[in-house]
Amino acid sequence: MVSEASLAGALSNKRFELIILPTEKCNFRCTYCYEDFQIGKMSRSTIDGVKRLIEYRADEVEDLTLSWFGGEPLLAPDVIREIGGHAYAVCKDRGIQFHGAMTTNAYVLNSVLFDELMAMGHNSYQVTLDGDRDWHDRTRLLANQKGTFDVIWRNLISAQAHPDRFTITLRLHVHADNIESVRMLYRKLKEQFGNDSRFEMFFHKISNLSGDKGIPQTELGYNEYREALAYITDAKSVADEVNADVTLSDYICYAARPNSLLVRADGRIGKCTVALNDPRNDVGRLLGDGTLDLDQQQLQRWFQGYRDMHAQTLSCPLSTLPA
Amino acid sequence: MISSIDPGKISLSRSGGVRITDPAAQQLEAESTWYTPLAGNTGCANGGCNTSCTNTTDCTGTNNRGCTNRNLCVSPPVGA
Repeated sequence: MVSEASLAGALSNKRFELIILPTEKCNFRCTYCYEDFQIGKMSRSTIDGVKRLIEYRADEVEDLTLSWFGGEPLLAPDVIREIGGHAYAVCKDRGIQFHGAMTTNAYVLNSVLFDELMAMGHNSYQVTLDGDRDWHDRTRLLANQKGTFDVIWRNLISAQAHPDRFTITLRLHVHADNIESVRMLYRKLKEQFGNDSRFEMFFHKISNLSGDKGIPQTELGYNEYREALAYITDAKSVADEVNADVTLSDYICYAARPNSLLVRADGRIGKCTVALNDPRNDVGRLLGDGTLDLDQQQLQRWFQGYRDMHAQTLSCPLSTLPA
Repeated sequence: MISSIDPGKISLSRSGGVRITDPAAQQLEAESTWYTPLAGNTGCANGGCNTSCTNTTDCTGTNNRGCTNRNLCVSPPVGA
């Protein structure tokens, strides 16, 4: 059963989250990735529509979050500057709490760009590492198949020099073959960032979501994964000491929250960032005037968990989504 | 504690506003500040966190020790 506080956050009309894909192209070719990179940069009409939608929502909300996703969102920095800057200004003008967040591979997140994003209220980032350099550079590759660890690490160190408050969540992917590498990385991260509370670690069990094209990683079973987390972190209690997908509780996924919408680069409105090629995820379109043309029945598929407050369905509505 | 909301009674307006016509949810809304984010988490970087933090500095830190609800305060992962 989810808590009343969690329900409040998910259903409140006083808050609104837009997960925006400014481009669906990516400079990486992670071996397990599920995206097809077919859709390019967001069109002028969709950019204008997002800005107007933000203005409409500003009439009602007290709290606005922009969460940038992709593709790699930083391949379209001009779109982020225009929409993010607009949202930040609107919220500042109207006394609305603004949160700018981004899921980025951090390859182009140099100090100049980081400073610029921070200046417009974007202070929450999620960056993924697949282990220490040895494993990371086998699975998180550039499109030209080159490794990416050293550049990402350099950019994280640069961010650490920023004087202000931010959160960088380092998402550490774990599978059966990279446990030793993640353990080495964990120690390295503790050494570099352990005394800097702006950096957090979040473990995620990875599986190959790319179908046939990816190299196979061996997915860990539930108990094996928890044992691996205990080994990597030396935690006595994984549930109490480790931030991980398996230790999240009382969690309602953004896809199940009515006050969270995904805006794709081509203007389609969705709910889930994983099921990008699933027609059930197409719940409507954003029009150039900022209004939403929504299929309410299609949308309500994602709210099925509220019928009996089913924890699994609320934490991942895709897992039980009606056909 | 509310135990059920009919998904068919949740909709979004053309401007993205949440509209819920479920009687149980409306009753709860009338009796409390259920739909209003709590004010105590202004130091939390996660907009989805609506729980009071006893220490707003720690709220964004490792394991969010200062937050009365660690799980809500943790930045929710976006993606696979």
